[in-house]
Amino acid sequence: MLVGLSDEELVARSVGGDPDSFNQLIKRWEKPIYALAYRNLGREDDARDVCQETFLRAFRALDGFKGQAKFSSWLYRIALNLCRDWVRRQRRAPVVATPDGVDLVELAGEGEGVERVDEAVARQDLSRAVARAMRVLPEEQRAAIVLKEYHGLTFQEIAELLNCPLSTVKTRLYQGLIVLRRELEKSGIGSASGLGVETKGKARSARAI
Amino acid sequence: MKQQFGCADKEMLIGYLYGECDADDRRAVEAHLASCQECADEVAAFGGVRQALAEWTPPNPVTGFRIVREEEEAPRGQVLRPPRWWQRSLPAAARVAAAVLLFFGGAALANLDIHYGADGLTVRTGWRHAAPAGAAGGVVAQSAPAPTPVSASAPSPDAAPWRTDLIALERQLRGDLAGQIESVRAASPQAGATSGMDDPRVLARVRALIDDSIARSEQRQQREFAYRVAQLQGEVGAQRRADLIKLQQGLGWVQGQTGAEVAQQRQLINYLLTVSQKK
Repeated sequence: MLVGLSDEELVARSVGGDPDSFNQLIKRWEKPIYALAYRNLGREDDARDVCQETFLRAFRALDGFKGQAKFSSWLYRIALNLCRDWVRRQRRAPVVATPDGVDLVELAGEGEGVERVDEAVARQDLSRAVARAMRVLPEEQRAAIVLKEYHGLTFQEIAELLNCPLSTVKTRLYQGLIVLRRELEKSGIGSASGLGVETKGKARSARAI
Repeated sequence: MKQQFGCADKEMLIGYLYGECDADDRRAVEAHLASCQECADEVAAFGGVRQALAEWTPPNPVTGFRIVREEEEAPRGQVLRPPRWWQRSLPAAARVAAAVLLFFGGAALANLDIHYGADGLTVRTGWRHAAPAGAAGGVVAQSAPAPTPVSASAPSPDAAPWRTDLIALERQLRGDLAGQIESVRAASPQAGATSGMDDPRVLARVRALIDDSIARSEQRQQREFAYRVAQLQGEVGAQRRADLIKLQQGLGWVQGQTGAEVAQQRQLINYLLTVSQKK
């Protein structure tokens, strides 16, 4: 019965006090939201937490959702905000003290990239390489790439979600693709090219954007 | 709508790559790619990147969470629920204690006599009275042996509660009989001869009197007992109602406290949410 209803109808019913309607929305959107969180954060447990928190916040703020946007966009926005907070919180809390002269961000990026994906699931090399490359992307570029590549959103929708002009979305996508291309080539995917100090330096400057 | 496309126009290239451009733009880009190897390489490389990206699938989420109505959850809730020890264990114990207290209180009031003997459990209430003495007034007879049968006809020692009544009765009868004998002796010199003939009749009469007084006393005590039991029931019921009302008031107070706490926490969470979202 609930399956045939639109998201917005289910929202209206949820506001009216029917929890099953909201559970239907969870059923409908938990996979995309989880995937969004997972691709942005690169860790299963973090993604699960963010996914759950997204629906919790959505449920609490449901009265405030007046249908000015699509429900899914609204949900995506909550999830993206949570992912951003998540990343910032983790960056702020280095677990171990590092010796002088070591780039902490770089180290964290590399360490997490390898270790987290490894520990997550034993995946095929390509998938792992993509995950690692995605971790190198600056946050804004990664969000744009994920929304475009995996969620098929239009430039306009991404612009609204990320609160930036249309042209910025395209620029971020382009820059993101450049970084991904380079990172994947480093892993031997695509046309193989050397790694070297030079590309590493570029990677670092790309991260700083 | 641009007909010209330059290598630096990356936004347009991205629009072309993702198929979000109009036909004119697409034609312009395609025309450029045909002539510019660098841009053509880039577009091909991006195609490869996008293919690789498609290989990256997230693991299957095992979330399984759902929103549960608060009312549904309330009875099972473990969180934010005060211990309700008094709701389960105490009322039963309190009720039993109250009942026992009231029972013994009532028993004391009713002068209840509980006796467990060879004849089983005996429960009696009421104050013991001396047997009604007036009944003995009608006894006409005489003779010295008469008192002896009276004491002999007394119930077995098992019926201890009756003994005092009987002793009192016996004393009265003895007194009366002594008085009668005196008067009869004074009146008739042949009294000694007639006394032997009247003995069985007197005995039967006395027995009937005793039985009658016992029956009447029994009846009165039963009525008294029924009355006491009814009174006891009423008192227990009233006490129980009072206890329940008190419990309910306590429960309401605790619920009010918890509700206020929850509301406060929710307010705090909402505040934190709005603050974090503003950020």
